[in-house]
Amino acid sequence: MTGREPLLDADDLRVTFRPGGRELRAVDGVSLQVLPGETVALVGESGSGKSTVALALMGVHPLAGGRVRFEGRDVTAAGGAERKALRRRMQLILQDPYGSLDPRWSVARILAEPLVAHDVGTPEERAARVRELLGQVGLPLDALERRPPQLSGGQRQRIAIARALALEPRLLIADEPVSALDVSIQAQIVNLLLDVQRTRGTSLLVITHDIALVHHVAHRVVVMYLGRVVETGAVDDVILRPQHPYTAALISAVPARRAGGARQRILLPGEPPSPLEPPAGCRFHPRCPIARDRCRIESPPLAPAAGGGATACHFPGELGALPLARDERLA
Amino acid sequence: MATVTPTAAPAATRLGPLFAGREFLWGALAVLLVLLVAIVGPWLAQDPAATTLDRRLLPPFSDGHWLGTDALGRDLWARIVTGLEWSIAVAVASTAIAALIGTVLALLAAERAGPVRTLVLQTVDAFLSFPGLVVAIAVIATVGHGYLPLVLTLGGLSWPVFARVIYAEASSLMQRDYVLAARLAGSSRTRILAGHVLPGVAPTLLVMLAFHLADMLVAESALSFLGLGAPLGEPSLGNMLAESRQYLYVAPWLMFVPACAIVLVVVSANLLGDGLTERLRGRARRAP
Repeated sequence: MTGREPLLDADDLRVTFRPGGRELRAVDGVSLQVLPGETVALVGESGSGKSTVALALMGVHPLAGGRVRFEGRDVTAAGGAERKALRRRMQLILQDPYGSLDPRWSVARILAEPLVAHDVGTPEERAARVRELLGQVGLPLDALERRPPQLSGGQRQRIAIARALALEPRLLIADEPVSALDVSIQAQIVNLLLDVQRTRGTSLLVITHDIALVHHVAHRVVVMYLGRVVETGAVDDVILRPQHPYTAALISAVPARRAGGARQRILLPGEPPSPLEPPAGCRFHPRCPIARDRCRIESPPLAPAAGGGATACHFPGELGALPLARDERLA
Repeated sequence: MATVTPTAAPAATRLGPLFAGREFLWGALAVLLVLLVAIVGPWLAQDPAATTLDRRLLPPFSDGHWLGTDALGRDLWARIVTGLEWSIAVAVASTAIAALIGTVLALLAAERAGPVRTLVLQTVDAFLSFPGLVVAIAVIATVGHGYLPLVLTLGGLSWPVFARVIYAEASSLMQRDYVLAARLAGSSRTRILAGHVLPGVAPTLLVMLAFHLADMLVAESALSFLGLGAPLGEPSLGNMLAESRQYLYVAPWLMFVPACAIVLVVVSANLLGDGLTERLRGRARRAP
């Protein structure tokens, strides 16, 4: 990591839910940093706790442990007014633009709401800012009086992005920003996010399960499995030389670009276990192709690995050495 | 108080093709007409208390009294419009009170988890487990007659109907992503409730208002029938019905007129409620 001060520094985040009195550690000691102007991808399959991390960072879920520092100040310890001011400079874009916009509100009202809520400017200044935002996300001015049901999914997500930009945040968290959209629209929205980042120097934390997207947008990657970070590092290191077997499996699941491309797929047996009863030892061991006795007993800590990243595996980088099963269906 | 059924079958199935798709129109028209009669009628009619003992129990369409007269020779039309005014005034005010209390508590419970929600929901359950009319009789017998006690009692006892339904709807709205997005944007609780949740429950609220109005009118009539509603000398649809019982065989119109008035108002309000349900559901279908 460079000597720059991280914009967002989350340390040992823990979020615990109690469904029916039982303890569910949705996020169990996750640390991540985002530098100014950097794009970090938080990757994992459904249920890995990545969206919960986003909501915990935004202060929606109370933390069972850990700290969030933003711009060098402790958000978790900050009092009401300071906290509101800090939160204002970090904004979250939700996954589903069909649910995140009130169907009864006009676009103009949706975009002005963050400004009104934070008491920014006069009504005229707000109206001007709303028009400016609409231009930034590439929508025509006549969208102002429309309501979300009159807009397409891509247009809606543009509105959601514009709303998040209204308060000029320094950090944008995008939770699966394109997974609810048509494939044909996805690239546009991704490029819009990258554009915003380039022109305004905004830091981006992209939460996704799509490794291909990660490679396209991110500088660094954080891979989560069952509430914990299993691997982190620069995007090229992680994608090209994954150290953790789970990361390797995720990457191998990306469809080959060429027909008949001789890509070896690592097939993980079974489903992710329930976070209500996480496996003993390494949480990945029941599905891991290279698990050994030590993995069943001892939980590996996140330790520096070859290539400058860090991985939580007792046998980092070993997976590539194993003879992999060819997936007959793809051949 | 009868239960509210905002999801009642469309009136079209019962009332035939005349009303198909037009419940709202007919209901609104009928309710407006009733309101007009209740408001303007008393100004134009004769003195409802003026007795003419030589013109007692005149049948309808008699000279000067088109609905006839009662046992004391009082003009029935004058009494029915005054009674309608009273009954509607009670029904409207008690519905407003019930809706206000019920909605405010429902929004509060939907927004705040924990003891506040538990308290509201338990109170609703407690209220709903008593037969409303019986409790109303007990309360009014204790606090006394009059417009205000009557309205406060009816409203104060029937709000849980609103609270229950509005709470269910509001708490589902609170789970929507756009409420989360508003929180993330920094909107206050009040702004979220007023901007997202209240407009979201408004269609349901409107429908409930129409049905509740009918319920309150029936409740008022029942209480007046028992002598617990309108004060002595104040005509009301209920106490006119009660007085008519002695003359059922000699002057049945004394019963038919107020009974028909009650039925007319209740059916109008229900028609309006059905129509609203249909309309708002149709709109909800177009704009999910």
